[in-house]
Amino acid sequence: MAKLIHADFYKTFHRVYFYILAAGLAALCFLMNYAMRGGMLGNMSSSVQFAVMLLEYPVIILPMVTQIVFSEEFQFHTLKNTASYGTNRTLLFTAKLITSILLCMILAAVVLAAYFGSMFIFLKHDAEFTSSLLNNFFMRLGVSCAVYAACITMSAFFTVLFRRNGLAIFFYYGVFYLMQYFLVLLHLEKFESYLLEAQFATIRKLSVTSFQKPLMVSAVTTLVFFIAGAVAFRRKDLC
Amino acid sequence: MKNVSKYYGKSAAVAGLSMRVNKGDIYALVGRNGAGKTTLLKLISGLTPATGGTIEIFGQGSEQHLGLARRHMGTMIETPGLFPYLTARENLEYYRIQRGNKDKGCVERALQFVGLEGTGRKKFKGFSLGMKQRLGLALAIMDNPEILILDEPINGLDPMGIKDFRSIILKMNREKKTTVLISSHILGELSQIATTYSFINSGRLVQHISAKDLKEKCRSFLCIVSDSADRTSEILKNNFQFKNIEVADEHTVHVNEKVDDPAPAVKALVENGVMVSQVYQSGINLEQYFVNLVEGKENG
Repeated sequence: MAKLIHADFYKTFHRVYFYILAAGLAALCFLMNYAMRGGMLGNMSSSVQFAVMLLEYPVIILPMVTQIVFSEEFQFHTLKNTASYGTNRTLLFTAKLITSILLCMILAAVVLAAYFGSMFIFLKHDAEFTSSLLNNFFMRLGVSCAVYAACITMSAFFTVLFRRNGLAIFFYYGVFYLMQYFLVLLHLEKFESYLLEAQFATIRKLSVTSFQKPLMVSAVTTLVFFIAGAVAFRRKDLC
Repeated sequence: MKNVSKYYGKSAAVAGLSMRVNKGDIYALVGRNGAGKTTLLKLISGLTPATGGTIEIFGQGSEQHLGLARRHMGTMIETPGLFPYLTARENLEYYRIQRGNKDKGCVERALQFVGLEGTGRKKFKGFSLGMKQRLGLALAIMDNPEILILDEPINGLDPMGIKDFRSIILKMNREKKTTVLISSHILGELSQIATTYSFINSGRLVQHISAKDLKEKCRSFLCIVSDSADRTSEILKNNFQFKNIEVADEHTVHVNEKVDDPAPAVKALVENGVMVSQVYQSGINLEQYFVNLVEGKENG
């Protein structure tokens, strides 16, 4: 497992794509805090509260990481070299998933560093910017990470299922953003609160006593898509 | 392999095929496009699951053992699949890390073996087809495999590349006793290295034959057609040093050895009153043999 992850890190860090993605996101963070400076929201506490509102948006870029780690292996027919070496496919799928999550964590660290760095550079320190505000933000970020992990697993499943990156991303966005409308059409609105997107509504709420439901939903979604992905990958023809 | 099948829907790519590859063989798979050669190699390499039958490598057939056995195999199936944005060295390094090979020198040795040590910072996407094939081969041999599985490995190679490739395969087979399982459409090339052949058609094994036996079947012979095959045979035996004379039918005699000049033999026959109507050299090459076999007309 460690060898597979190590190799994927070697590959990822030997290309420009990942660095451009990280630099682009960091630049966006700088731009946001720069835009907030001098205005009504030009202080650190507002920036942190604004960041909570943004926690759903990383979901959009998660398939890019899955693409780097997994989809392109289908595209370039490189998985056959790994599978023909006798590597267990479930292990390989798990390693790809863990690599994707780890790379997302690296991206998250870069983004957080850029966001908080630019916040300290451009915005004013105010009285509401306290350690409890930061604790609250990081708790919400932690819960969001569980949802991101579920999203990555879902993305990996669609990648295995369709091989074609475009189709996999289409289904990923479809399931994440449009599933609630399908549930309404099927008169299954009561299940809407169990969708991944709905968990961000809980995470964004000003006063939350428990994040148990988002964590549970994320865990169950991760498990379901992991099993489905691993089974599909075991049966897949690799060429 | 015992009774191995692979179905895509109702269509059989491989249908109940059984075969055995012995250690040290250079085993050639011969078949037309879509005959099932690549599917067969994919089944052995674990790239596609079999619908039925059993596959054993080094005598072990359980999934766990097959996984371990495949670590002693080097494969190149269809086109080489490597990362276009990495250099030759980086591509091999990726797989060296992934396979946990602690010998860092294996990458350089493999590149030298296939003549790609000087490619420097050039990315895989900038390689010619022949260079890509060479790098695919370098990956296959990097871990000193005991079994080498190669599917159409000389596609895109120039004549020098084909010659180099042949010498690499023969060197590995002779020096390291590597067993090679190879499929190719270039039958003339196969005939220079193979020790055993399997002819496959429509997913079935049509014939399994050793190179020696095949050579015997494809041998060149002198064919003499006359009014009496027995008389012709007798005269040839009495007057010449031919050791292998075969009466094919009442008019035809085959001299199963190399005859540089048939004129003295014809002269002797005519002088002894035999009416000779035709004299010609005959024999088939591997390609003709394969075509005849597939068309159900073995050896003419």
